[in-house]
Amino acid sequence: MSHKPSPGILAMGVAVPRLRVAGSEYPQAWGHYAARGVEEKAVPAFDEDAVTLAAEAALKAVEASGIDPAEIGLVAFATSGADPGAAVVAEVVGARFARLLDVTGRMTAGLAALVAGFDSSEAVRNHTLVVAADVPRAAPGDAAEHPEGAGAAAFLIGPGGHVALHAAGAAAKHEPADRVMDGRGFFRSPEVGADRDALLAQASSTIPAQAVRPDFVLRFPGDLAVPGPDGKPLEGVRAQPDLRKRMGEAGAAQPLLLLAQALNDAAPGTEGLLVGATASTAQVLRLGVLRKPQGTGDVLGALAVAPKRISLLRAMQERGHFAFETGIPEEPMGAYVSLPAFAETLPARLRLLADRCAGCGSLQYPPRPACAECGGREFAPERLSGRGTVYACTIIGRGGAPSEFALQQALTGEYGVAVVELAEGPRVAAQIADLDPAALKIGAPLQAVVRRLYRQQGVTRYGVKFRVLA
Amino acid sequence: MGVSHPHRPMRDVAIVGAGLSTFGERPESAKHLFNEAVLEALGSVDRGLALKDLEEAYVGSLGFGGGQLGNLAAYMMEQAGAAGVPARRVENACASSGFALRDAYLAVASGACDVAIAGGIEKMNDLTGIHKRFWLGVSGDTEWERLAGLTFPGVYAMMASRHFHEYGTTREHLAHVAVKNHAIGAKNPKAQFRREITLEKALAGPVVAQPFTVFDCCSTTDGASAVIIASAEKARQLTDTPVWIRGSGAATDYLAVHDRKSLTRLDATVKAGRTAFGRAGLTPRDVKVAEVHDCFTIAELLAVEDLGFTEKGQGGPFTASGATSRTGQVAVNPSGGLKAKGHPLGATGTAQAVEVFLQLRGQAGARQVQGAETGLTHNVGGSGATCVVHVYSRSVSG
Repeated sequence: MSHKPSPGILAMGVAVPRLRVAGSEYPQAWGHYAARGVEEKAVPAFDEDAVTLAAEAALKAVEASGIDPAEIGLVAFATSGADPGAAVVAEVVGARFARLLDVTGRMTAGLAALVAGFDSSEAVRNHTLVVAADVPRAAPGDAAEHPEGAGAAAFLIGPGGHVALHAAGAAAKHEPADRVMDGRGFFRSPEVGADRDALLAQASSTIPAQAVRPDFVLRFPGDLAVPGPDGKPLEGVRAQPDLRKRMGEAGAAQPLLLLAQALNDAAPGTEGLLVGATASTAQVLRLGVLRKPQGTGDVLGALAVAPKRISLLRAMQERGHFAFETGIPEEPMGAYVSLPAFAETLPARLRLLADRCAGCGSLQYPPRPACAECGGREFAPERLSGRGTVYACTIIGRGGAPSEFALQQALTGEYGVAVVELAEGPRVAAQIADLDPAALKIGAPLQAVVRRLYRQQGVTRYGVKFRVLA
Repeated sequence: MGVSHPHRPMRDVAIVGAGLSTFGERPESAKHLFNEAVLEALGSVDRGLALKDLEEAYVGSLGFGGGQLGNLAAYMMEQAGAAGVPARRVENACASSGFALRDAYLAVASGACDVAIAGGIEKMNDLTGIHKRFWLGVSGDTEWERLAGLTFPGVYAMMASRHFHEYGTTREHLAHVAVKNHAIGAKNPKAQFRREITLEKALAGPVVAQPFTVFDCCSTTDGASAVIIASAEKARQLTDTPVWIRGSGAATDYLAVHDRKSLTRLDATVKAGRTAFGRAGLTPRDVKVAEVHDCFTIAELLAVEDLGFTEKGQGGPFTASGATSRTGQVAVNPSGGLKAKGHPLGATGTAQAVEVFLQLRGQAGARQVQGAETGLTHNVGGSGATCVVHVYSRSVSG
């Protein structure tokens, strides 16, 4: 029987939105602030959601690992919302043979996905990509909305990884999901719930006792008391990183963001606990750190990169509140791109796959049936780097958007568009993500990012946009 | 590929009648506007022509709003009283009726028929604002350009950004186009905007797509147009002053600007212009009056360069110098152009021919260009994916 080393975390990546809103804005707007300790929170831009943040973090993890994405056997996507994301993540990273697993509807989804990732890697002896991403969205005015942030953490697990799962315990009650979606698309907490501490005690009892004091004990939520061997609350050697203060609570992504930060800072040869519990589920993971995984799990560092502070009103608009009030319909009323036609372009949009002409060697992007240079019809796919420069540009003022972007413009105003000259030669028109009007100039360097384009026929359409590099 | 055969024998063809509805926000439905243009065109035929004399009908329309999207030509003709005539809709975006004219011209020139009507109709202002949004920009590349958040103001604005970058063109150069076309459009009783604007006002308008203000962009317009064309023999029976179509040229290009080699040149214009001039045996220097496709101010600068009225890159200074005013070297858009007269998409191509017909016959009133012997129309679809150019003269040859 062949022997392969046990699975472990090989690489990691994190993503946080660039926009921030200060907690101090809340008392004036709502008369109180229910997120003590959250100084500011990360706000997803209008074109960011759990799926785009997941894609960004996943791509970082896969690229840091250096493995061929075709060797990924499972892509697991976890979020507390209802919409799946594994398919888009798999397309973005190029995991074209992977099975897809979407773990949704629970705040502990990320922990469950992580355990499933280790199990899968152990069972089929290949790589697993686990990504937890969340943009929790309670109704405005609901105190549950106050601490809500956004973010994503991704882990690539495979044979011989650097962080092993020593033990995992879980417990669950037959109760409603931690957070349910109401009829208007907002999260709310269920009206009934079991005793969180009892569930946690049950989950902890199934794993062997800790031999030494753990290097880190990551608790989610932060006020959770993890029972130690002596019955007293267990503390790690190092304090839990205070992500909440700087970015709010990123729902089901929060425990994995905590883990990423802890692994980033952990010393080799240590152990740690990752614990999450809600009114309906509890998960306890005991991890052994041989050494730091590839890539970076430095969430605090990522939060420090070019943050942009916005008002609470603008934050609500970026979150898509008031969409109904704009009166802009989601259903097409004229020319539009059908879902099958859009799906046909997904490898080009999400994976940046161009076609290399077998006849003349020229690169076609976006792909077309016949080569624009020689008329050839045989191509080999080739992935573009995503780097480019601004060849031509404009900023679309209010009222200048096509219907697909009318809602975005109504809520967030002007946006930039460029003809991008890609590093490999072809040009393509694309929207500018995270626009800084002063930086959008001919010749400015660009990097591709996957963002939400628009929503039609009940389906969110994702595609490539470009960010101006500093 | 694409260049027609300049020496293939074809019959001489002339415009013998032309009609235009008033452009603007019209309360009437499309059939009334089209009828208005057809009636005026028939009435303008000096020795008279009846609907039953029309052998073929070519109706240009984008079908904006989707109203009578299918069988539009048959509907328009039967509503105008010409049920039975072989009719078809010609769709090439904003160049629809320019191509309708070309198709009618080819039918007469080939000998297939002796009298044909080419027209265009677009009704744009009877939709709700949000419904209109779904129809604006539908002639661009839908999968990539549109989904980058672009409609035509954005596409042409990016072309302007390159023209600024490569040739030093300025916002003031663009504004000169708007000022000129509004000044002359004020004298056109059928124009949508009949008021002059100043350079300062043009520059200070609300931004639509940088560097464009609202004054760099044409509006949405209801309108219809029609011209009646005839073989030489028939034309001489109908009028003493036919306007001869001396050359017709057309070309297509990539829909998306990102697929084109250059953003500061419309290759379709260059090709169509060369073909039309070659056919006519004339050159840009012969042209005294030109109706060009100024859907945006930059488009007029590109047109005067690509048609050969001035050097590439010099469109801005050329226009600012007054060379394209009514009394300049070549009067460009004496009707007010798409900018001031209005741009009812599918009706624009034959509306341009109506203006040249009037100018070459000396019937253009306060906007008459002196010595207008030779004219040109230049009609573009989308941002240059289609283009058709016609060259006209008061004389059948020479």
